Amino acid sequence: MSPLDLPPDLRTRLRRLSITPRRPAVLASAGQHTSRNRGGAQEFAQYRAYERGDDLRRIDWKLYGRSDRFFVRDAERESPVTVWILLDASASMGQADLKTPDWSRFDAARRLAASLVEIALHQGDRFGLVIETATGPIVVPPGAGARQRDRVLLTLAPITPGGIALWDRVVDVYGERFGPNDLILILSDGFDEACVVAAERLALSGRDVVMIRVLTADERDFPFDQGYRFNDPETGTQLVGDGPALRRDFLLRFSRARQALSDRLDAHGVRHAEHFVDRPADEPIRALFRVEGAR
Amino acid sequence: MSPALLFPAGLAALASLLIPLVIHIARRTESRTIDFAALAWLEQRPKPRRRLRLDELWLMASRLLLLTLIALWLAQPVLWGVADRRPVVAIAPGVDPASIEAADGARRVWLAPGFPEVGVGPAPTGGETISLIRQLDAEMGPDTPLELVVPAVLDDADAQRPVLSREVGWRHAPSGPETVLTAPEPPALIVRFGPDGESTLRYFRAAAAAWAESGAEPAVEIGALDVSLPRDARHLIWLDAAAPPQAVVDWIRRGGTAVLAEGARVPLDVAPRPVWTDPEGQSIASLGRLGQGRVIQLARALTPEAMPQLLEPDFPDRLAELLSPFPPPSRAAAADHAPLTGAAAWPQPPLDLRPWLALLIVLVFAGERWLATRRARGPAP
Repeated sequence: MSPLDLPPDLRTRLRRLSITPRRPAVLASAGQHTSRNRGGAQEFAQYRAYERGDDLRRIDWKLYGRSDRFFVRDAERESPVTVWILLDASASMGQADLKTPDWSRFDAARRLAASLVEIALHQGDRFGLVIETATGPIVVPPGAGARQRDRVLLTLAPITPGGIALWDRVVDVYGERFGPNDLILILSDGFDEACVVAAERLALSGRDVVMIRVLTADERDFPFDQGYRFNDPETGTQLVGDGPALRRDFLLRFSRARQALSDRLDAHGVRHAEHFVDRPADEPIRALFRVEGAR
Repeated sequence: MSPALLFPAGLAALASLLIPLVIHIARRTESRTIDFAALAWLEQRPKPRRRLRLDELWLMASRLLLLTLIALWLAQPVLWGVADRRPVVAIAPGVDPASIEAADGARRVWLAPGFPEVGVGPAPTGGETISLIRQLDAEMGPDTPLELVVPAVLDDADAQRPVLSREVGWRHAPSGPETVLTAPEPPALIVRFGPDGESTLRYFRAAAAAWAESGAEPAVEIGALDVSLPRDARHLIWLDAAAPPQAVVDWIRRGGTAVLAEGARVPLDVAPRPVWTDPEGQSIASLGRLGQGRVIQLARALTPEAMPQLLEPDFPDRLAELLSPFPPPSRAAAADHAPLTGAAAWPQPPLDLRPWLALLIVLVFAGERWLATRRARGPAP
């Protein structure tokens, strides 16, 4: 089960979803979002051979003069919204459930990213990808179209989570690449303080930040029925304990922590949702963009 | 009906119950390491756990049951007082069972070894009736009624009327016509003599002549030492001081009866005991056994001086009894040989439960194997 191949039923449900920014887009575009300006620069994307039905005005006559063939300047459609997907690839993302050891939190996050890409592609929005790894971010600059989707998926495919992600650099180094109206989607477990701080700082700078916290089913249910040595993959801290003895306390503390984080994100205007790895990927997207999606 | 253990020390094997318990607990002590990123919200100092936890309870239960049964088997469980209480009608072979009416629910058995049920299998041949009556009485519970059906004349009575532990019904078939008994044939003598024995031949000739019917030829065959024995020889008189050759010893071993003159000796299996003594108590002849044969060793020289009994008129009878002893009297009218009562009841052996327990053990073992090897089972134990 590859996280990047979306199952058909998920694909069907994604077709009814949309990613909407908090504010209406201001730039003109052929995109889906309501806009104040019409028209605007078309950014060159590629040449392609002329086909019947193409607008004659779009033929590049200079190139025709040089090559005696008709070429059409393909322009990239300008969308007012760029969807940035920030994917956490720290070691904690590699955690898998007891019952499904080959479906990790990172796999669920990648499926979520692929779903978001699918929606953005369908909407005609530009989208970019930043993967936060221990050795530094891997960036796919924003673009649109099916080739951009393939580029994103190809980048996602070989990544394995490990180490501790350096979230500070997101804001310092890449913060300026995010446009003021860009939609920034952070896919992380939210356990990393630096990650939350980065989201808060991006939100403080006026950007539209959305955080989807990917949690495992074990963290929700704590189904451990015997003694285990619990190992924190990022810090290497270990704790030996009996599952049933720890369960009640953990669930209480963890739900409190989740609530505290939600309050914190709310206070900074960060939209957020929780996604459990054993749930379909469209659920958090629907929950996040429900109000606007009802238009 | 009360259960008991014949060997309670066998229950010490119950100590082995600890083995499956240890097997099923031991795995709990090792803890698997798992990644858990939300470690910060786990309690840092978990309460120490002392609760026993067991894996695969059904498998462990079957193993405990198996070991318990084996320990019980070693302790030899028995059940007292489960004897058959149905009345028994024992019919001696030779009596027609169809002519015997028995009460309902009564068990009809033959008075034969093993006491087979009447109607199951062929009718056995008779013999040892009185001994079997004693055995049947001893093998039955003290309160079980017993009725015995015997022929009119008992051919194998022994020296005492049977004394039983209970009142028995004693029925005998109506007496038939008087049977005519014939006297046994006198022994046929084979005499082998050495140089010194020739003078004593006449005593044996005279004895043989005394045994023979009047007018008949005495059954005696006389020869030198090296004349081989006839094929059907049964009684040999060896009149020589030298030991008989190996061929004669082998013949005795196969079942012959030999009278050896003074000085002639053969190695014996059973040491000789006196069977004929003079009035002073001195031994005249002693009987030993060799293989299946009998060896009568004479202690005196066969001369009238050393052994005046040679001249006594009862010498032929004495000799005949030495050679083929008379059987003890064993015929008695059944009416006169009814069992007496008064013997102490025999304690009945308890029912041994071990074969049934062994069957149960096999079944439980099969169940344990099935539980332990079924497919939907995790690794170890």
